[in-house]
Amino acid sequence: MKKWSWLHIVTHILALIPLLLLVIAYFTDNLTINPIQTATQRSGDIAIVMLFVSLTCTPTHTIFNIPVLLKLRRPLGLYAFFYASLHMLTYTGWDYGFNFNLIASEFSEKRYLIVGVTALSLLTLLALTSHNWWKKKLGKTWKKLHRLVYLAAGLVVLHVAWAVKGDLFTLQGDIWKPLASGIVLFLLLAARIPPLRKSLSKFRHLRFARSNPIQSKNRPSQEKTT
Amino acid sequence: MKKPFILKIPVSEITPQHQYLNRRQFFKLAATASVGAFLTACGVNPPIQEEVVDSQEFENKDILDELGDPANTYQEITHYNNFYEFTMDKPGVAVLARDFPTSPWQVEVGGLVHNPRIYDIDDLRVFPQEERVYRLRCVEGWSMVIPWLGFPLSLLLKEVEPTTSAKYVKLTTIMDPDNMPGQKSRFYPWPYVEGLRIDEAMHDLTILVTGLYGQTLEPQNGAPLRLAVPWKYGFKSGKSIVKIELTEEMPKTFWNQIAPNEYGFFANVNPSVAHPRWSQSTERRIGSNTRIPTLMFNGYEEQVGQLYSDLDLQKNY
Repeated sequence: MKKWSWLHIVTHILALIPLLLLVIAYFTDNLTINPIQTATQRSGDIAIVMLFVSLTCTPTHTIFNIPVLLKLRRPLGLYAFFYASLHMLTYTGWDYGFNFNLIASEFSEKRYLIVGVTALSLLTLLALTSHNWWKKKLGKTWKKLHRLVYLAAGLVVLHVAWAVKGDLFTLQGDIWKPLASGIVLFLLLAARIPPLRKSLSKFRHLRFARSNPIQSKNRPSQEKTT
Repeated sequence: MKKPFILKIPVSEITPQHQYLNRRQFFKLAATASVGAFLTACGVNPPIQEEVVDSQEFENKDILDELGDPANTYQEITHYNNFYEFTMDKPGVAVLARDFPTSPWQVEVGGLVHNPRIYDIDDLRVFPQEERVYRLRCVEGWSMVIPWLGFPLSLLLKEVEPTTSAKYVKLTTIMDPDNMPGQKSRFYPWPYVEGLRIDEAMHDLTILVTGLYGQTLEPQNGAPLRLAVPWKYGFKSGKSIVKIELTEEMPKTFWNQIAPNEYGFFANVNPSVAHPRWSQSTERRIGSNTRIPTLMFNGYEEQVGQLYSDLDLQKNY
């Protein structure tokens, strides 16, 4: 049975706070007078933050050698999936009232929706195969499969870049969000490139000591490199 | 040419008088001469007492546009604004704009005209102000119904007499980064410039707005002077205008410069021209959660359709 560490509990609480705030804002009429648009944007923002935080675990471990962080990737990834689904549901259900003709015509003509729905499909696939049962069953393929999260994250940045009023390439308009998330994702992915990862891991020796050598020995090596 | 639509009935006549006066009590009425005159003209003396504005309660289901759609509340109209000079956060505009100085204010009217002139804002309030209940359709897919107070831009243009070479009207928003924090952002080509073809500018539906719900315009809505062109997407209606120029060349407008493939110069509300982000075939009226079909020219086709009879609207979006 899975042991619930205090870190897991804190993670779950922190990850659920944005949902709580969203629900409170809804019931106290604090989602502006255009609550649908606000809720759509906010759930999307939260999903991105969750996804990026889940992608931060590995590089943080690379630098600071905190193996327990690797255990948080799955719950954080699942929260990203949860908020992304909420985001999608707000759009299709609350905004478009599940009017599939309207939704289909929107999806067929808007590139930001196409990349967004592709990213969510990838996250869905990863969420469905996130259980240990699948991990065992798929073996090495599982790891490869779950590297699709990098593609999903890239698509998410593109989704945001195309969803704002501005042009990322000429640096004009409302572009701070795609710009910031693009830079963050670039750094998160760069930290995974083997030569860079090696040089980052040298920082570990600058730290006073390995925080928990026994724990890190027991960790399967594949988790460290993902 | 068909006679364009004008709302000839002031709000006070549509609304049962007692309700109208109840609403009025929320306002510090002494504020504007125009409102005072307006009420006096209706044979009513403005209430003397100055009660605190409780705009939350200020709403009226009896103010309708010509299609029968009820006006949005004063709270909605003044607390959900796209005014990037202040902030990109729509509810945040009202907060940041609260102390924006709108007096003294001058508007330079010049360019290709015979009588260029600098107008003081009070000179512009001399033009006969009328109430117009217009739909405002934002390019983002939401809309409102707004009882503006203003006068046709054509009255002002006739006074300065455009020369025969004048083809366009360029309207420039004030550049005041000290009071408009959003203008410090380098991601935008400040100041905000919008423009109209001269026949669009001369159209009776095109008004310069000085007021809202019968009272002086608030800074978040573009005080002291803004444009309202109801058949175009909201961004065409520039706010806090300081300069009106007549030009021969098509002006380089703000959003058109940022993303020309998304925001055309004309920006007529057109459900058949898709936008890469927002639905242009449907919209959500603020205050309601259901989508309604967007009307060609925002429902003003009868009045303005003939302006574009020889223009390919799919290309000139």
